[in-house]
Amino acid sequence: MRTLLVASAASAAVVCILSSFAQQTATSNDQSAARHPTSDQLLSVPVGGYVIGGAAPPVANPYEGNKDAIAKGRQLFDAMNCSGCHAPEAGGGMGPPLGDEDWIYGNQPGDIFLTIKQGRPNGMPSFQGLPNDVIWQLTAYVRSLSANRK
Amino acid sequence: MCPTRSGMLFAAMLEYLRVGPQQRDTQAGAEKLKSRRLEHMSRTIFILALCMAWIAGAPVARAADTTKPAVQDDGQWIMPAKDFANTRFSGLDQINAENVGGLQVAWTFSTGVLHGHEGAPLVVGDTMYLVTPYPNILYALDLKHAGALKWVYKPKTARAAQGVACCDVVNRGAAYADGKIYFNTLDNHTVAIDAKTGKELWNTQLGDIAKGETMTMAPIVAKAKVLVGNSGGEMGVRGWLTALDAKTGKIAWRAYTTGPDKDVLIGSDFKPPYEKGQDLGVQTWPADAWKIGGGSVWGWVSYDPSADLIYYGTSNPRPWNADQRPGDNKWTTAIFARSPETGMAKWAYQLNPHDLYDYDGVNENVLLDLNIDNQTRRVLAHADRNGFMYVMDRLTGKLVSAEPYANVNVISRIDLETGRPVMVEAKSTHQDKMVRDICPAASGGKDWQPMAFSPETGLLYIPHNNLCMDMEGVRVGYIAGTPFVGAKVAMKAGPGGHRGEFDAWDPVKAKKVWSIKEEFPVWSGALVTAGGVAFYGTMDRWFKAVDAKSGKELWRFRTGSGVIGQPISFRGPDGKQYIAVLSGPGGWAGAVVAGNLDTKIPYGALGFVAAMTDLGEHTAQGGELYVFALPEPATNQARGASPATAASPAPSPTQR
Repeated sequence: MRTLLVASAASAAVVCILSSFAQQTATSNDQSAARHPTSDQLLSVPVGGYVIGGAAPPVANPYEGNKDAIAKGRQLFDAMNCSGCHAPEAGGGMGPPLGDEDWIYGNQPGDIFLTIKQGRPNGMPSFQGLPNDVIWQLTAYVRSLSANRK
Repeated sequence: MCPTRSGMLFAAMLEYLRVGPQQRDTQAGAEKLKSRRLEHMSRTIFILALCMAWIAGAPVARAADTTKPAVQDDGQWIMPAKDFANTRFSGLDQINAENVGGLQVAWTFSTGVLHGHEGAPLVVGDTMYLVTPYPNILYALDLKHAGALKWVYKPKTARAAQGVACCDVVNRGAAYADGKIYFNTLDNHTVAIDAKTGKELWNTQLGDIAKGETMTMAPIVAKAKVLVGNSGGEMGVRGWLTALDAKTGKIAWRAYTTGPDKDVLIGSDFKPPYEKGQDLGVQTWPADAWKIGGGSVWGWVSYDPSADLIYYGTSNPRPWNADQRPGDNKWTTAIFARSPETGMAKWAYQLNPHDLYDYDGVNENVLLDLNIDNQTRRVLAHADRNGFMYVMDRLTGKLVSAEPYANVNVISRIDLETGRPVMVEAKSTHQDKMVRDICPAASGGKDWQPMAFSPETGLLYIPHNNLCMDMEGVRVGYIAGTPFVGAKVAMKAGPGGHRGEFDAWDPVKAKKVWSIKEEFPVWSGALVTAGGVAFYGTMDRWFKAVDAKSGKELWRFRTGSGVIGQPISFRGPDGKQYIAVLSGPGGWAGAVVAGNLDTKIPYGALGFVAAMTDLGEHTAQGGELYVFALPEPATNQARGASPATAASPAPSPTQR
C-alpha cells in the first residue's frame, strides 16, 4: 500500500514535470508536431546498424540542433534522473558516458529515441511513459553533447 | 635427504667394509672399527635428529573432511574474512619474510568475466571456490590438479541488474558451511549450492531490481543462519539485514535500518551506548523519508560466538543532498550488534549522524581482545569512511578510542563522552553550494577494502585511500528504480599527492606504525600471515608482499590487470602453503576502466573519475585468479614446469 502511494506520488510528480515541458514546446514549435516521425518509421530503425535488403531513410529528430529543445533536454536530463546513472554532464557511471564517440546502441536520432523509449537489455530502463516530444528533446540534448566536443 | 632405514644399514655396511678384513681382526683394527662405528652412529643420530625437527616443523598434508571443516583450521579459508572475527590472518608460516622473495606463480585461472573482481576465493579441503562479478558464475577448482575445473554453477542473473548497480557489478565472495556454498547474485538471489556436486539446493529471492536493489556482499553463516544484506543506498532503497535458514533458505528474520523500532528489531533488550528514545528510525527523518532512506547493508558481518552477537554497519542515507533530509537520519551510517538467532538489536551506534559526505558505515568490524590500560578489553576495531579508526567495547558499543588514520578535515575529533563527531562547519555540504577540498572524499579514508590483523605483531594492516573532493548538493526527485543522489562531486588526490596507502596501525596505542604510499587507492583486501608477511594488491597491476613488522617490501609480482581482490592463503593437498588473489580492476574506484567512462568529465562515477583519469594508462580490464607458492627445492623440479616468472623479489642471485 505504501509502495503504491509512493509510486503514485512519484508518477504524479513526473507527469507534472512533463506536462510543463510538453506545453512549452507545443506553443513555441507548432510545426514540429507535424514533423514527428511516425510509429512505422520508428519501427524501421535498424538498431543494430546492420540491414538485410534496403534500408528506410533515416529518421530525423524534429528538434535536431534546436537550442530551446536542447536546453529543455538538459533540464529533463536532471529531472528524469538520467544524470543519476549517466552522471552530471553525462560523464558516465552506472550507465555509459554519452558525450564520447563510443555508442553501444547507435548515435542516430532514431537510435537514441528508441533506446530511451524501449530501454536496452544491459540495464537501460524503458522510459516508455514519457511523451514522444519529451524524448525528442532529450535526444537533441544527448546528441549535442558529442557535437559540442568536436 | 633424510636417511631411510635400509640406507642407514647400507652405510653401516660400507663403513665396516672400509676397515679392511685384515685390520678388523687386529686390536687396532677393532678399535678403529669401533670408533668409526661410533662416529658413524653419532653422525647418523645427528642427521636423524635434524630430520625429525624438519618433519615436525613442516606442515603435514591432511585429508580434510569437507563436510565438517573447522573454522580454526588454518589450512582452509572457508569465508572471505577467514574467521568470524574477520582477522584475515593465516596461521601458516611456511612462507615467511626470509623466503617470500622466491614466491612464484603455481597456476592461474581465467574467470571468463571482466569488471571488478573484488571477491575472495574460498578453500575447503582440496577444492577452491570462487564467485565472479556479474553474471556471478561459481567455479569449483580441484587443488589436487592445479586448478582443474570440478564443476561450474551459472545462476540466471538478470541482465538488467547491471543497470542498477552503483559501483560496478562486483561480488565480494561466497561462504562455506555444512557442505554448502552460499552466495548472492547481483539480482537479489541468495543461493545455496552443494559443495561437492554443484547442485543448487535452494534459491531465495530477496529484493527487486525495479526498486533499485542489488546484492554484492559476501554472506556469513552464524548459528545456522545465512546473513545477507542489500545494496542500493544510492537508489533510495530501504536497507536491511536478513537471516535465512541455512538448510531451507526461508527467511528467519529481517532487520531494517530505518523505520519504527519493530521494523528495526529494537526491543526491550536494546541498550544503545549514547542514544535514547523510541522509533528513532522514524523521528530523525522528515515525514516518510525513512522509507526511501538508504542504510543498505552491503559490507561485512562479523560474529562473536561467546557474546552471541553479530556486528555489521549500514550505508549512507539518501539522498546525498543532506538538505532534503534534516535530522540525524537513524540508523544510517551505524554499527549494529544483534543476536544472530532473533535479530534483536543489543546496541547500535551511529558513526555519522546526518551524514553529509556519503560516509557509509559498512566497513568491517574486526573483533579483538586487546590489553588496554592493563585490562583485557573485548573490542571491535573499525576503520570508518570518515577517516577515523574506532576501537569500541563490543559488548556495549561504548567508544574506547577514535583517532584519524587518514587525512581528515571535516571532523575535528570524535567526542568520546557523547559519541558524536565534532563537525567542521566550513566543510558542511549544502544544496546549490560548492564546497571544495573536503577530506576524506566520499569513498572515505577507507571504503569496503578490508584490513587484516596479526596477533603476532598486534597490528592492523589497512589498505586505504588518500582522496579529497569538491561537492555540491543538487535538488533531486525520487523516481523508483533510478538513483536518488542529488550531488555533483569531483574527487582528487589528498595531501601528498598519492591516492592510496597501505598502513600498519597499532590499535592499542591508536597510532600509525608504518605507511606505504601508493599511486592509486589501495582498493584490494589485506592478508597477513604467521610467517610475518602482509600481502596486498594495487590497481596498477602489482601484487606485493611486505614485512609485517617493518613494512619493507619483500616481493612483488606483475599481474595481468589491476588487483582489487581479497588475498587468501591456504595449505594445498601437497602440504605446501599457497597465496591466492584475483586480478581484474573495477569497483567504484576502477569504474573509469570497467565502464569505459569519459575521462574528460570529472563527475562520472559519483565523482571518482576526476581522481582516476590516468588509470587506463596503467591497466585494462581483466579477470584472472593467481595462485602462488614457493618453488620446489632444486633437486625436485616440478613436472616440467620451469620457474620463469615476472616476479622481482628482494635480491636473489638465481632470479632472472
